[in-house]
Amino acid sequence: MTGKRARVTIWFLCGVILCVYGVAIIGSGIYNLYNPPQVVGAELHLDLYWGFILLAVGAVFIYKQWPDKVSAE
Amino acid sequence: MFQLHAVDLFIIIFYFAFVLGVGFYLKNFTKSGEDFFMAGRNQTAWIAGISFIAANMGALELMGWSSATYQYGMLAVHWYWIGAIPAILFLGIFMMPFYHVSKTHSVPGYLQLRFGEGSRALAGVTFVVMTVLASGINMYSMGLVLEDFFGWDFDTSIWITAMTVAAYVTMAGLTSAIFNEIVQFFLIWAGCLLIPILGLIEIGGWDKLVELVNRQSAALAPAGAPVLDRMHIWSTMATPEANPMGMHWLGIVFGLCFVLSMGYWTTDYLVVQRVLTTKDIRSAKTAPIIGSFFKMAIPFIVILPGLIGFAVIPGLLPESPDISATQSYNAVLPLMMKRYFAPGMIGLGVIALIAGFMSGMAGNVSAFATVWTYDIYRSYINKNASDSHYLKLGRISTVLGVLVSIATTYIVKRFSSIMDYMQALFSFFIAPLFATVLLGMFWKRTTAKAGFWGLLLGMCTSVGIFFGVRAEILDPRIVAFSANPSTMAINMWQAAWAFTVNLIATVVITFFTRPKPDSELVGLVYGVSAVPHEGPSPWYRRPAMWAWLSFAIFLVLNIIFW
Repeated sequence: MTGKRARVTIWFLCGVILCVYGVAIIGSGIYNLYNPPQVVGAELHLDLYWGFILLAVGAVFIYKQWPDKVSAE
Repeated sequence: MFQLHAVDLFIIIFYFAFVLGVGFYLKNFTKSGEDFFMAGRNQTAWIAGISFIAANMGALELMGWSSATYQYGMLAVHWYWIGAIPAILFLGIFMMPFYHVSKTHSVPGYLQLRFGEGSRALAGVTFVVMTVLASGINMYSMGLVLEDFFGWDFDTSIWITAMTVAAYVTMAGLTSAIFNEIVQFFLIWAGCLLIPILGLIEIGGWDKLVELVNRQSAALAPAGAPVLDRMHIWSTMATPEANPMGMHWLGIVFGLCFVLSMGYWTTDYLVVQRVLTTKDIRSAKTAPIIGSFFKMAIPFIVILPGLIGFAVIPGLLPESPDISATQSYNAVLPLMMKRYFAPGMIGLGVIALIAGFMSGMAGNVSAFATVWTYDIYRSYINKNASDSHYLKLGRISTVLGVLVSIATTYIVKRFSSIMDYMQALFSFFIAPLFATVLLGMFWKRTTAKAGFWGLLLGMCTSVGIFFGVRAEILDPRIVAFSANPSTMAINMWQAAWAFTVNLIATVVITFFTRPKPDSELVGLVYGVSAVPHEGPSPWYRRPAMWAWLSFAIFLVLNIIFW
């Protein structure tokens, strides 16, 4: 499914799920800021950064693979 | 036991809804057998390349190799580098042109074109049986992980996951399997990448990790025995006694690289099917090469967590009925998640494991449906049905494949020791198949009878050695050329023996039987066919250039960790 037959590409779908999970991880990361979990490295708040990275990568995929844009190309 | 929070449950439920939604959406574009079984043969190199790696990257792979690293140290990385990269590049550069130009639907299909119906039937039936059983074993392992670590009911986990896979593969066949494999590939990385990063931060960097692993190795060594090095991959292999795996370097080079890995990556239809969906010869050659870069990177999320686990969670033991699942080597990856992951990330980690299981299962089921429908049903049962009939049968056989897999899961659950037997046997069937395809593709003199009998004798050899060793009729020290061989070392050498017997038998029988005329071999064999070429292109788009780059990185990695 390269774009000729389907309206959305697989990369667009990857972008959607990464964005949704990015938002969920950011949300839990903010909660964990105020309620630190009992895990090693909790003070580093890497989950918060990770959520932003997932969101950013997902957003790039969605932007570059937006269905109308891909069809026009 | 892991404690799941609302955000983790949201992540898990959303994942199931998402993969079903993808299948439902793609159903609109699946109109023919070619769409269902071969994903329309219009995939790009990137899609096929990632899917090629994702289909191989089941959760058994993630957990199994983390566990193997805990047990054997960095030697486990051989299964990702020398045990994968040369074979993947060989597939891309030398074999894909012939698979692609012959327009075959499957590896058994290629054998039919080259050697006739006998070889196809043997390879097809073996593959169908093994694939469904492998899928069942995959599910059994998933059910155990979810039960042991998350307290989920075994039956519920199995049925929900299996029915989800059945639903999305039935709706859009291989297209759906491939799309979901790519999503799963990203999720596996998203769920596992933080483990080595947090682990290295906790320990204090690579040098400190080496120091801790060496200290643990010294603590494990029996009094008076030498301390076995776990941090180098070649320098400890001059003798089997010098490394934790009990393996000589020849076993890795010949058994793993030349036989098992070449056999798996170039003839196992589960992975080759992904590359056969590419739209043109350039994509067919490039897809495995793209996959090779990702394969080389996977040790970062599999091997490194195993090493870090060895350093920070000492005391895990070999699997045994006397210990709980969370105390065995196999637990190292979930235990690392538990150690480092906060709520939210736990959900992502669980999804990484479930995604791994589902991609492995979907890969098996979609390959099963294709080989069953094209190589068995259409060839021997109903030759002249319409395309829509085969499409319908493909959908039915997908559901049946899943149901048989579930049945296998319960058989394995009841007789857990057979799981080890079946897992070992899968790879042994691959080794002789590789000898047959290799000779068929690169030596035009090879005859149809030689191809069939060589394959059969090779398979009999692998099964014979396997049961001979277990029945104590054969001495494993002779089979594996080692005074104290590990199970892994024995497996390597069994595969090497099966390959060798097939090779010799095929060559000998060939000289006593009549070959096909060259005109019947065009498009199937090197030497009588013009090698299909991808056409002129700038240097940076040439598959060979990327293959050389991949090979150079592979060499550098081996030298760094020598």
